[in-house]
Amino acid sequence: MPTDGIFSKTISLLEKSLDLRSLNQRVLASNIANMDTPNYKAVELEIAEEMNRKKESSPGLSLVRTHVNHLPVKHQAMPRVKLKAAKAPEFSLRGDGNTVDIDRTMGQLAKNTLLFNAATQLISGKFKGLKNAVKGGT
Amino acid sequence: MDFFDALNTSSAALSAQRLRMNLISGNLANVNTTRTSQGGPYRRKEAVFAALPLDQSFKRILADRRNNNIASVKVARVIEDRNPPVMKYDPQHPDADAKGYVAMPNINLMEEMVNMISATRGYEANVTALKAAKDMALKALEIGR
Repeated sequence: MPTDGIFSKTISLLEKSLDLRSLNQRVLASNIANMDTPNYKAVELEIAEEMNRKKESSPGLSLVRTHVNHLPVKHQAMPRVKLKAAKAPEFSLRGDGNTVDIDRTMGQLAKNTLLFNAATQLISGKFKGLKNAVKGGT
Repeated sequence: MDFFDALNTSSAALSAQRLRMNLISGNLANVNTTRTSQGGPYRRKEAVFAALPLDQSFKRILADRRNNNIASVKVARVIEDRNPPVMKYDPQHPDADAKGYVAMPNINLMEEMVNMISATRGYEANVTALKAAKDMALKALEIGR
């Protein structure tokens, strides 16, 4: 019996998406909080790069299986996303060295929240489907 | 805990912007104040914001030195404007000098109003960020319900 099958790839992918979105929320909160801080350089996550990255084997804790019927425990690596400097506004009249583009950041914030909510809905739907199957459709 | 970090960052920014707003109110209220406990006219006050790294580990501080890190915000200090006071001719005033000039605070009303709008917008942006973080956390709690 494939033990991987029940929690399909979709759920782990959505899980990763939720992790990244919440991390992104933190980054956006930082940029918004420092919108008036002199010399603060805006940062952003390389989300697209991270989602596209092939699963690479990273060293971590794993469990030894001493019996064939033991369930495999997959190593869950915490997303390690790099930060990069965000694009500064093309023309800026402020002379304090701050590179936060507040309008763009607020747009990203709205987008981030929406996509996070979309991922939670999808993952909820997945679990509902599982529950339905467990209960035999009653 | 990502969400709490986001909430903490936004609330630190709210308190910083509020302090800035309070200083602006103080400046506007004291636009005609000629007597202070330090002596002389009121001096315009301004908040200096500084980015505050969330994580104090060596790696993070190193990354922060290269200006590539996420950070909270704090009011580093409150500075007093060192510009000379405006001298206004008013011989009737009890604080007038021998020549009849009174030292008035060097406060530009326009400048204060513009700073006030900026502080209000900053506060609003952070309220939105805080609300977004809270909504996301609540949505995450609904998974599997």
